[in-house]
Amino acid sequence: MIDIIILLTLLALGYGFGRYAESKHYQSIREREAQLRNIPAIATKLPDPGLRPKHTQLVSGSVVISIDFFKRFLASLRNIVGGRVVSYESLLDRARREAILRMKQEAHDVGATHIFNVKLETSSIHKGRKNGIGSVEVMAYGTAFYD
Amino acid sequence: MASLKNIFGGELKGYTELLQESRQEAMDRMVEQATAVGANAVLNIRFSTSSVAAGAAELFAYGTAVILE
Repeated sequence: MIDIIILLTLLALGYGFGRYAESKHYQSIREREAQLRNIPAIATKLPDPGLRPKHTQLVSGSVVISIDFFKRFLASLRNIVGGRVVSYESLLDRARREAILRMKQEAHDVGATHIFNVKLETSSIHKGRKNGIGSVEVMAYGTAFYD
Repeated sequence: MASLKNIFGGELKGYTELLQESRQEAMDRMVEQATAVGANAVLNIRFSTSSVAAGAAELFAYGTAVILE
Protein backbone atom coordinates (compact mmCIF):
# COMPACT_ATOMS: atom_id res chain seq x y z
CA MET A 1 0.00 0.00 0.00
CA ILE A 2 2.71 2.47 1.02
CA ASP A 3 4.55 1.62 -2.18
CA ILE A 4 1.56 2.61 -4.28
CA ILE A 5 1.25 5.92 -2.41
CA ILE A 6 4.94 6.67 -2.99
CA LEU A 7 4.64 5.78 -6.67
CA LEU A 8 1.58 7.98 -7.13
CA THR A 9 3.25 10.88 -5.31
CA LEU A 10 6.33 10.59 -7.49
CA LEU A 11 4.17 10.42 -10.61
CA ALA A 12 2.22 13.51 -9.57
CA LEU A 13 5.42 15.41 -8.73
CA GLY A 14 7.01 14.38 -12.02
CA TYR A 15 3.91 15.33 -14.00
CA GLY A 16 3.51 18.72 -12.36
CA PHE A 17 7.12 19.87 -12.25
CA GLY A 18 8.06 18.19 -15.52
CA ARG A 19 5.25 19.86 -17.45
CA TYR A 20 6.02 23.25 -15.94
CA ALA A 21 9.75 22.94 -16.64
CA GLU A 22 9.16 21.78 -20.19
CA SER A 23 6.77 24.57 -21.13
CA LYS A 24 9.10 27.17 -19.61
CA HIS A 25 12.08 25.68 -21.42
CA TYR A 26 10.26 25.63 -24.77
CA GLN A 27 9.27 29.25 -24.29
CA SER A 28 12.86 30.28 -23.61
CA ILE A 29 14.09 28.18 -26.57
CA ARG A 30 11.66 29.91 -28.94
CA GLU A 31 12.65 33.36 -27.70
CA ARG A 32 16.37 32.74 -28.08
CA GLU A 33 15.92 31.07 -31.47
CA ALA A 34 14.24 34.22 -32.71
CA GLN A 35 17.11 36.33 -31.33
CA LEU A 36 19.87 34.24 -32.89
CA ARG A 37 18.16 33.67 -36.23
CA ASN A 38 20.72 35.92 -37.97
CA ILE A 39 23.50 33.34 -37.41
CA PRO A 40 22.75 30.37 -39.64
CA ALA A 41 24.12 27.01 -38.52
CA ILE A 42 24.83 25.02 -41.67
CA ALA A 43 25.74 21.35 -41.91
CA THR A 44 27.71 21.77 -45.16
CA LYS A 45 31.37 21.02 -44.67
CA LEU A 46 32.78 23.80 -46.82
CA PRO A 47 31.22 27.20 -47.49
CA ASP A 48 30.81 28.92 -50.82
CA PRO A 49 34.31 29.78 -52.12
CA GLY A 50 33.23 33.42 -52.37
CA LEU A 51 32.88 33.63 -48.62
CA ARG A 52 36.39 34.16 -47.32
CA PRO A 53 36.43 34.87 -43.61
CA LYS A 54 39.49 36.31 -41.89
CA HIS A 55 39.13 34.07 -38.86
CA THR A 56 37.57 30.78 -37.97
CA GLN A 57 36.96 29.28 -34.58
CA LEU A 58 35.60 26.10 -33.10
CA VAL A 59 32.36 26.80 -31.26
CA SER A 60 30.36 24.31 -29.26
CA GLY A 61 27.40 24.06 -26.96
CA SER A 62 26.30 21.19 -24.79
CA VAL A 63 23.52 20.36 -22.37
CA VAL A 64 22.64 17.45 -20.11
CA ILE A 65 18.92 17.14 -19.58
CA SER A 66 16.94 14.70 -17.50
CA ILE A 67 13.52 13.19 -18.06
CA ASP A 68 10.95 13.40 -15.27
CA PHE A 69 9.52 10.45 -13.39
CA PHE A 70 6.11 10.62 -15.03
CA LYS A 71 7.47 10.52 -18.57
CA ARG A 72 9.83 7.71 -17.72
CA PHE A 73 6.86 5.78 -16.39
CA LEU A 74 4.98 6.44 -19.64
CA ALA A 75 8.00 5.26 -21.61
CA SER A 76 8.19 2.04 -19.62
CA LEU A 77 4.53 1.38 -20.44
CA ARG A 78 5.36 2.12 -24.08
CA ASN A 79 8.03 -0.57 -23.87
CA ILE A 80 5.29 -3.15 -23.41
CA VAL A 81 3.05 -2.21 -26.33
CA GLY A 82 5.66 -0.72 -28.65
CA GLY A 83 5.39 2.35 -30.88
CA ARG A 84 6.65 5.91 -30.82
CA VAL A 85 8.00 7.01 -27.46
CA VAL A 86 6.66 10.57 -27.61
CA SER A 87 7.82 11.44 -24.10
CA TYR A 88 11.46 10.92 -25.07
CA GLU A 89 11.03 12.72 -28.39
CA SER A 90 10.32 16.02 -26.67
CA LEU A 91 13.28 15.48 -24.32
CA LEU A 92 15.70 14.99 -27.21
CA ASP A 93 14.16 17.84 -29.19
CA ARG A 94 14.66 20.19 -26.26
CA ALA A 95 18.23 19.01 -25.72
CA ARG A 96 19.19 19.41 -29.40
CA ARG A 97 17.69 22.85 -29.73
CA GLU A 98 19.29 23.99 -26.47
CA ALA A 99 22.72 22.71 -27.56
CA ILE A 100 22.44 24.47 -30.93
CA LEU A 101 21.38 27.67 -29.16
CA ARG A 102 24.37 27.55 -26.81
CA MET A 103 26.68 27.01 -29.77
CA LYS A 104 25.09 29.97 -31.56
CA GLN A 105 25.43 32.09 -28.42
CA GLU A 106 29.16 31.32 -28.30
CA ALA A 107 29.43 32.24 -31.99
CA HIS A 108 27.48 35.42 -31.33
CA ASP A 109 29.90 36.36 -28.52
CA VAL A 110 32.89 36.22 -30.87
CA GLY A 111 30.94 38.19 -33.49
CA ALA A 112 30.52 35.36 -36.00
CA THR A 113 28.22 35.58 -39.00
CA HIS A 114 27.94 31.90 -39.98
CA ILE A 115 28.60 28.47 -38.49
CA PHE A 116 29.65 25.77 -40.93
CA ASN A 117 30.21 22.01 -40.59
CA VAL A 118 27.77 21.68 -37.71
CA LYS A 119 27.70 18.28 -36.07
CA LEU A 120 25.43 16.97 -33.35
CA GLU A 121 26.35 14.26 -30.95
CA THR A 122 23.97 12.55 -28.53
CA SER A 123 24.77 10.19 -25.69
CA SER A 124 22.88 8.80 -22.74
CA ILE A 125 24.75 9.77 -19.61
CA HIS A 126 22.83 8.48 -16.69
CA LYS A 127 21.49 4.96 -16.81
CA GLY A 128 18.79 4.37 -14.24
CA ARG A 129 17.29 1.16 -12.97
CA LYS A 130 16.96 -1.65 -15.48
CA ASN A 131 19.31 0.31 -17.73
CA GLY A 132 16.56 2.82 -18.50
CA ILE A 133 17.81 6.10 -19.93
CA GLY A 134 17.57 8.83 -17.31
CA SER A 135 19.34 11.73 -18.94
CA VAL A 136 20.88 12.57 -22.27
CA GLU A 137 23.71 14.82 -23.29
CA VAL A 138 23.60 16.58 -26.61
CA MET A 139 26.54 18.51 -27.96
CA ALA A 140 26.55 20.72 -31.03
CA TYR A 141 29.77 21.98 -32.55
CA GLY A 142 30.90 23.70 -35.70
CA THR A 143 33.26 26.22 -37.26
CA ALA A 144 32.31 29.85 -36.73
CA PHE A 145 33.33 32.41 -39.36
CA TYR A 146 34.07 35.98 -38.45
CA ASP A 147 35.97 38.96 -39.80
CA MET B 1 20.99 16.20 -6.86
CA ALA B 2 20.95 14.25 -10.11
CA SER B 3 18.56 11.67 -8.66
CA LEU B 4 16.20 14.45 -7.58
CA LYS B 5 16.28 15.84 -11.11
CA ASN B 6 15.36 12.37 -12.29
CA ILE B 7 11.99 12.88 -10.62
CA PHE B 8 11.35 16.49 -11.60
CA GLY B 9 13.12 16.57 -14.94
CA GLY B 10 15.18 19.46 -16.24
CA GLU B 11 18.78 20.38 -16.90
CA LEU B 12 21.58 18.80 -14.85
CA LYS B 13 23.89 21.81 -14.70
CA GLY B 14 26.56 19.98 -12.70
CA TYR B 15 26.76 17.24 -15.32
CA THR B 16 26.86 19.78 -18.15
CA GLU B 17 29.83 21.50 -16.54
CA LEU B 18 31.57 18.23 -15.69
CA LEU B 19 31.33 17.05 -19.28
CA GLN B 20 32.45 20.39 -20.66
CA GLU B 21 35.55 20.30 -18.45
CA SER B 22 36.32 16.73 -19.45
CA ARG B 23 35.90 17.59 -23.10
CA GLN B 24 38.28 20.51 -22.68
CA GLU B 25 40.77 18.08 -21.13
CA ALA B 26 40.36 15.68 -24.08
CA MET B 27 40.92 18.56 -26.48
CA ASP B 28 44.01 19.72 -24.58
CA ARG B 29 45.47 16.22 -24.85
CA MET B 30 44.72 16.15 -28.55
CA VAL B 31 46.46 19.50 -29.03
CA GLU B 32 49.40 18.27 -26.98
CA GLN B 33 49.72 15.23 -29.24
CA ALA B 34 49.48 17.40 -32.35
CA THR B 35 52.20 19.71 -31.01
CA ALA B 36 54.41 16.71 -30.27
CA VAL B 37 54.33 15.64 -33.92
CA GLY B 38 55.12 19.17 -35.05
CA ALA B 39 51.72 20.22 -36.35
CA ASN B 40 50.42 23.76 -35.97
CA ALA B 41 46.73 23.11 -36.61
CA VAL B 42 44.16 20.38 -36.15
CA LEU B 43 41.46 20.16 -38.80
CA ASN B 44 38.09 18.44 -38.91
CA ILE B 45 37.75 17.81 -35.18
CA ARG B 46 35.12 15.33 -34.07
CA PHE B 47 33.79 14.65 -30.60
CA SER B 48 32.40 11.43 -29.30
CA THR B 49 30.98 10.33 -25.95
CA SER B 50 30.35 6.88 -24.61
CA SER B 51 29.16 5.81 -21.20
CA VAL B 52 31.67 3.26 -20.01
CA ALA B 53 30.20 2.27 -16.66
CA ALA B 54 27.50 3.55 -14.35
CA GLY B 55 28.54 7.08 -13.41
CA ALA B 56 31.47 7.19 -15.81
CA ALA B 57 31.74 8.45 -19.36
CA GLU B 58 34.51 8.64 -21.91
CA LEU B 59 34.97 11.88 -23.80
CA PHE B 60 36.90 11.55 -26.98
CA ALA B 61 38.21 14.21 -29.37
CA TYR B 62 40.03 13.52 -32.60
CA GLY B 63 41.10 15.35 -35.71
CA THR B 64 43.71 15.62 -38.42
CA ALA B 65 46.94 17.32 -37.39
CA VAL B 66 48.44 19.36 -40.22
CA ILE B 67 51.20 21.88 -40.81
CA LEU B 68 49.67 25.03 -42.26
CA GLU B 69 52.07 27.17 -44.21
